[in-house]
Amino acid sequence: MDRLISPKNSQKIMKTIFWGSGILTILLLLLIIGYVLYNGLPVINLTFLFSDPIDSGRAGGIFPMIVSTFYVTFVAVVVAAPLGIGGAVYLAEYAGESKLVKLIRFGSETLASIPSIVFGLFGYAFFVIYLGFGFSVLSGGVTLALMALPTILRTAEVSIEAVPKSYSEGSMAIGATKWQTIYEVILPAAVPGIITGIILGMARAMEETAAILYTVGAALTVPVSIFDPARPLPLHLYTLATEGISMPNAYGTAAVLVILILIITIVTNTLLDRYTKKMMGR
Amino acid sequence: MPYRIEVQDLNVYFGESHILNDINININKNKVTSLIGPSGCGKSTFLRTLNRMNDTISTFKKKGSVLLDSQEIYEAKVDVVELRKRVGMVFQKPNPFPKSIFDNVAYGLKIHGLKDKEVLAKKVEESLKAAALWDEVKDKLEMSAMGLSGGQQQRLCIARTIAVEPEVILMDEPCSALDPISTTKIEDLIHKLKHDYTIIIVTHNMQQATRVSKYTAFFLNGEIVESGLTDKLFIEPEDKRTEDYITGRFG
Amino acid sequence: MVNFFGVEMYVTILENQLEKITDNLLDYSNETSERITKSVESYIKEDPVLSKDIIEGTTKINKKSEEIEYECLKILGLQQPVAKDLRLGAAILRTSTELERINLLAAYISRYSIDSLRKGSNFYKPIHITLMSHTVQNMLKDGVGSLLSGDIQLLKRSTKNFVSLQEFYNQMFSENGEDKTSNSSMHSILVARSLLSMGHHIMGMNDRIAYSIIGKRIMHHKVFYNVLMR
Repeated sequence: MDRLISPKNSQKIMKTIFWGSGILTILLLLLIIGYVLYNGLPVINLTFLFSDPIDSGRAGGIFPMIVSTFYVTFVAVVVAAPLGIGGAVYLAEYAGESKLVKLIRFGSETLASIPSIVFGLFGYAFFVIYLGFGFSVLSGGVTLALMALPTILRTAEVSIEAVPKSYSEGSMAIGATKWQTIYEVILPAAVPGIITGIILGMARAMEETAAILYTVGAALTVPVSIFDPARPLPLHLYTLATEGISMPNAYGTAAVLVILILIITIVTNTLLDRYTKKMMGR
Repeated sequence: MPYRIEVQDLNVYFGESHILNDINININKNKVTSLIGPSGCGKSTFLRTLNRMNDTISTFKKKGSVLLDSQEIYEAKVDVVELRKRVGMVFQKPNPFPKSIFDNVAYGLKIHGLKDKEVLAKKVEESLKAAALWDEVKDKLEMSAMGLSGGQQQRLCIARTIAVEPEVILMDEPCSALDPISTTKIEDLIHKLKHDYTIIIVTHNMQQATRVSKYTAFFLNGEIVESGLTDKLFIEPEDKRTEDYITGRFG
Repeated sequence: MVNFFGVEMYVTILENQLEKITDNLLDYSNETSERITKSVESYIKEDPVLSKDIIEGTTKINKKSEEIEYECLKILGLQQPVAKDLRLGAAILRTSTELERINLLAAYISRYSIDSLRKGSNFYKPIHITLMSHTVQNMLKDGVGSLLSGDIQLLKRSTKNFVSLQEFYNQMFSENGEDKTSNSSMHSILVARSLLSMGHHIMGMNDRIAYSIIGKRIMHHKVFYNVLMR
């Protein structure tokens, strides 16, 4: 049989292609992070991290922005997580395959694909104006919650469905009620997946710019009340860069953002790894 | 001798499928009864009817009666949670929870409201001893149950079941996923347990049926063809279908 | 797979092995039958050479019993058969034992032949002995035949023949038993007695064969009772 390329060689070629893709991906990642850190690290020092901005950000620090990021993200997670997990539990455990369920899934998937700027406009019209929250952490947080919700819902649902049916059978056979089974057996087993979903949702919230553009305001002070306006890091970065205020500080902000996300990812993975090991006895 | 379970004219349907047909059988107290028969002929469905596990399937329908200690278990006023405490089940593939060994055994007790730590610890120890597992795990109760071997996991599931002090233990091919030595250990365990519990075991292994059970029922196509003393059924079966099955002439 | 009257049947390993043993048993039974013929012949024809042959051949032929028993134990222990296969195994063991005894009895008949010749030849040999010999062989053929075929009718015929066997013996005894002066009659009675014993052994074997086929115990007590209480 005559072949252009022998099986042995085609194996080698494919392996090289895959290996190459992997390397390329890592390189790109390193490139981006590297570029940001290279330009931003020089700007970062304790003053930068812990003091207020001076002259609209031309000098000084980004402390209020860091606080804003955490605050807004926190609100987003607090709103989205219970809704997402609750919805996931309903879909996975209680709902059948009715039209309503199909509709809910469809709605969730669509929601996930809507451009963030649309969320921003909606948030502005509904939370800021109609409900009267004004430009605030609350408006921004809830808007971001809407964006994070589909992710959390989907991931949580998949995690719950991935829990082997044998666990729930074993629980039911001993006389546990459905809720006891969900609470004591299924959810703890689904925790790694659910947490991952929340982190993903949280990450999405943290890096959002367009959605919060219209909902959170443009304050340069530390938000205290939930009704205070704020300025999370991405927004500050955007402002500094596009309004030509200070490129170095923009890089600094970007660097802080990147480092923050890296830390959260690493910490969560480590904790989840340990939890899973403990649960599965390895 | 009064029967622990009496089944009369039981018919089970899943939607349009007629799975069990006019089942009549009485289960003797504190004896082991085996259910044998080819795959897919209703043995597991029958077993799950006895602890109302079929209730979880929406298309499940039943006619006829199932009595536990002379009381119908499918009445509306029956507390299913309480029923499943009295009638426990061990599954084909060991299914310990992803929790510690201790928490696995204590699960049933906690579910039913027991909170006292000392009492829990004592009951967990008793159950693990009764399941012939205590010596192997007493120093690592906090370890995850998933780290145990298959045979140990199955004994753990048995310990978990007997912790809530059931009257009946249903076993659905408990040894089919285990190696021969673990199987022997579990059969020995069944010999021990039968003095205190009524045991019904579905098995594909006919030697197992002859080794552990006093009574045997042969299921074929959703019906019980023959049932009675194991010795008689395997040496002098009355029905030709029984003989053909147990001598391996079909199925 | 075997095509049997158009119906495909799975022939299991066990069935094959049982078939081998029962074939062996049939050979054993046929040879035993021949020895019965020959031993009675050696008595009637006053043939000491034949008698000696029979006696000397006993050990060799009874080796078959050991072989059959060993193969049977292997099946029972290692294959763990149940129901009719198990009962068949038990019947084979029993039949093999009885054939062993019957072969010994044939040797005894030859012994009596030699003994009576020492006392002098040309003695009277009742026809009953020949009749009994034929009856015993028929019983044996039918009995072992039913073991192989599962045909209960053969077994019934075999059992009926026992009654005839006993009748022949009784007749012979009443006709010849009175004459105490004749030594030949003593040996005839001994030979007849041996043949009757063979009948008993076959009846014992038949009981187990009946259990193997039907799965219920039908000991032939009634037959013995009727025969003895006549």
